[in-house]
Amino acid sequence: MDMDRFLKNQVTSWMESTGEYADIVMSTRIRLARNLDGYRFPLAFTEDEAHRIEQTVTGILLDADKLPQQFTSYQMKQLDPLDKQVLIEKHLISPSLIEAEYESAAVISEDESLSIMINEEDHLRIQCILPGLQLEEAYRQARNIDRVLDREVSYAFDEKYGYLTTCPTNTGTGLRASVMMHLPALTATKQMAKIAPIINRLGMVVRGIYGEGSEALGNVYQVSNQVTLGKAEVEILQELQGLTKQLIEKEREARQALLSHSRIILEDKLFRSLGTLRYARMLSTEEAASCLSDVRLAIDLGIITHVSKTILNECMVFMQPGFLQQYAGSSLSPKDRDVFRAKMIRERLTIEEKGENSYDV
Amino acid sequence: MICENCKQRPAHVKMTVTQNGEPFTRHLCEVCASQLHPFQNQQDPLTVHQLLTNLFTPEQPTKQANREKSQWSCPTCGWTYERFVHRGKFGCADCYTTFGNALPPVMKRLHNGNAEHIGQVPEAFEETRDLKRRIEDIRSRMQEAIAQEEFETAATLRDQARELEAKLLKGGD
Ligand SMILES: [Zn+2]
Ligand SMILES: [Zn+2]
Repeated sequence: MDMDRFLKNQVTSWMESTGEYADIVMSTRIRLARNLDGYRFPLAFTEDEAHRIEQTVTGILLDADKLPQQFTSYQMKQLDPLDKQVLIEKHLISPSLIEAEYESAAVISEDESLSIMINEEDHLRIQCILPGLQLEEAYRQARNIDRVLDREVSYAFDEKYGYLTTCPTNTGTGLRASVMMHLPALTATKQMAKIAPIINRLGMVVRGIYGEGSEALGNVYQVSNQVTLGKAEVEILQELQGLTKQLIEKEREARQALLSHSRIILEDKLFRSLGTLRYARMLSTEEAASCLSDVRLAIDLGIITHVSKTILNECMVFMQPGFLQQYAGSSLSPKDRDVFRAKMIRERLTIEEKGENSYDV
Repeated sequence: MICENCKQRPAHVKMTVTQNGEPFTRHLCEVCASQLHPFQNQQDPLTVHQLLTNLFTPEQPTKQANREKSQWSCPTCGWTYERFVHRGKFGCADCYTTFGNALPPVMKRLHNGNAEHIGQVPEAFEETRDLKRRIEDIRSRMQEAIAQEEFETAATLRDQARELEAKLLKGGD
């Protein structure tokens, strides 16, 4: 398949490098958990309840004339496994949505910034992802969907506990706000391990977002609030915003320190990574992630200038198995994936070297 | 199904993880699942399940209290108290009432000491909330008036409060 076309079709709005503090904050995500009154929660509901909820909510969202965008509904049971995998890799749905016992669906907006999961752990998970640091705007958009639904259905709500959810960790506002951050310098200087417990004490949590195990793949972290009860939405957003800005400042300091202490060593490492991405014929997820992080850092520091910033955001998503197989047009063994991963990244770099700015959206 | 990792607790969490680029499903208990993220050593997060188990099995449980709790069962979804503790989740909105007496300490532990919602409310609750706030306000002004021995003002305020309370009752119907 033509790489250029493939990528253009797959780039989703949150992968752009726009938005505030886009050198460090890759994207912002807001999620509201809601349940409908009069139906048992997904862990205890019947097939019939699941069906009625799905029909009701999809109907409202597809018919609503007050919504800013067109929406499309995807029934999980009818979707091809590879397509589901791709939606997961784009962060538009969660793995548990496709594992739902009964009917589950995702209603996704045209630009893929808004997605409403139906019958995941809760009846509704309203999600908005935007590029850069845009907590208020992402919340505003998710809340807009929430309001539209609120007018048509009645939510499970309690004056004392707020919005009632399946898991007590979401009770109250049902709001989970997260920012995805690229923190290579804080990681390299071993500061993340010290920062994590402090963030925890503030009622927030930081974790690697890609891969598993002890390292955050690609030095990409997600910082989110944990407390949802007893704090108003604005307060939750402001606290996360404040913490994010502090992390940005610390990361910038660490980057400057790396530059001033060992510029040539840093440059050498970052250029080698670009070399690897450009010439390697096989790349594991780990190696690709680490090189992509290096190249992105080099772009932010002005060391590498002819590659667009979106490369990290995009390739971290596109190099996952679902995307690679869609790109290859067939299923791939793990070894073949390494080959295709290297090929995909090489082609992605070549497109830019041809001088096409099609990705600097 | 038993947790693949500890082979002890039931596997309630199905996780799709990627390792060496290979996606596969792991069946884990909530404890092991929570430890799959990078900073577990530093932060030692309490999972909901752990938390509930710890909170609900105090060192010296009074037999009476335990017997009482073991009889709780949600009329809407059928979940027993035991199931709720075991899963660390609710089966339906009415579980919040059914297991209500056990909730405040759980919520406080999970939400930094908070046990009451103060954020947005659905439109249907907005009017009620505003009425309640106004009544509270009038009542406190009434107390002030009484303290100042301004009984006429206090009487007027009392009438206002009653009027609003009547409205609240009608609205709640
Ligand atoms: Zn386990
Ligand atoms: Zn229940």
